[in-house]
Amino acid sequence: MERKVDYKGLIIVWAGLMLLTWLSVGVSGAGLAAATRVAAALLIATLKASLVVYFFMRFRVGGEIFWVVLPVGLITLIIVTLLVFSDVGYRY
Amino acid sequence: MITGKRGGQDMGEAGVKDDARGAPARLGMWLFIATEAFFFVAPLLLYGAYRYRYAYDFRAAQGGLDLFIGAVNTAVLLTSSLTMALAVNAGQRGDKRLTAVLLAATIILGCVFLVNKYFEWAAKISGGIYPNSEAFSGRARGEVVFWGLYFFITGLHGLHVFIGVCLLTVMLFMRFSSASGGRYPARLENCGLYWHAVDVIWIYIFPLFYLAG
Repeated sequence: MERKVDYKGLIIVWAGLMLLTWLSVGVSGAGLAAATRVAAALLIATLKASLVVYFFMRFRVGGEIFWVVLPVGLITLIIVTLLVFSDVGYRY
Repeated sequence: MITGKRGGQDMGEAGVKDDARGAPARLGMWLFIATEAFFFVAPLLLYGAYRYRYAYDFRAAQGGLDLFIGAVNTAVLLTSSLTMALAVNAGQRGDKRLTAVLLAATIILGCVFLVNKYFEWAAKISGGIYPNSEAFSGRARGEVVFWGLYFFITGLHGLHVFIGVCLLTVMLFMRFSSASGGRYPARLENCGLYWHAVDVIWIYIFPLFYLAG
């Protein structure tokens, strides 16, 4: 049975990650408002992280349980983040 | 991609034989990575809260960081993730030599990251910027908080990179041992998952400390 190894695909993903890194550095020096810079940088970071998780960590391999573990973890993190910043916003 | 069963064994993706330890070990590793995510989100949330409180001081302090070193470190870690993913692929194919070469490349890139971090910290420390430094007595409170968070978070991340380098070195020697002979691809894959998780953490640390100023 023929075995296919996706070396080329991984290298393409890596090139995309390099491009996104260059883009995030460029956006940071673009003279935008501070909040916009931070939001753009975090958005690009999330895109990069998603590429690493999906292609390098091969999240799609492993079965249905992983589609429960990751969303539950992410939702918990989002709830914790919202709670912290709602408290911080109330204080300051 | 080849999937399905062959001779009673689950072939998984790309026609790769999945040993009996594979799925439970992988789930265990993902659960550990989830705990690591919470472990790092806590100080990053602290960073976010203090950045909101001392926005001006944080932006001023960020000017003291070297964006070039931060960007180089990001590129180095992303490339090490590539070599790690390629190593896992090669390992599952049974190509011992290529696996060893790619593992060695990942280890070298990890060491490059740590050396860069050493030079970065050394420059700061020699300039009087370190936790509890006397030079902080005249500085704004927000700047002191920023540098404390910088050393804590990047130090914690650097420790994780060091642990990853040690793990991968052990895997490199195990690949050559007759005892394991690479019989359990799950072990290599789980080391790979840990390494990629460390990379994902840096993907968020880099913009927060180096780009958000």
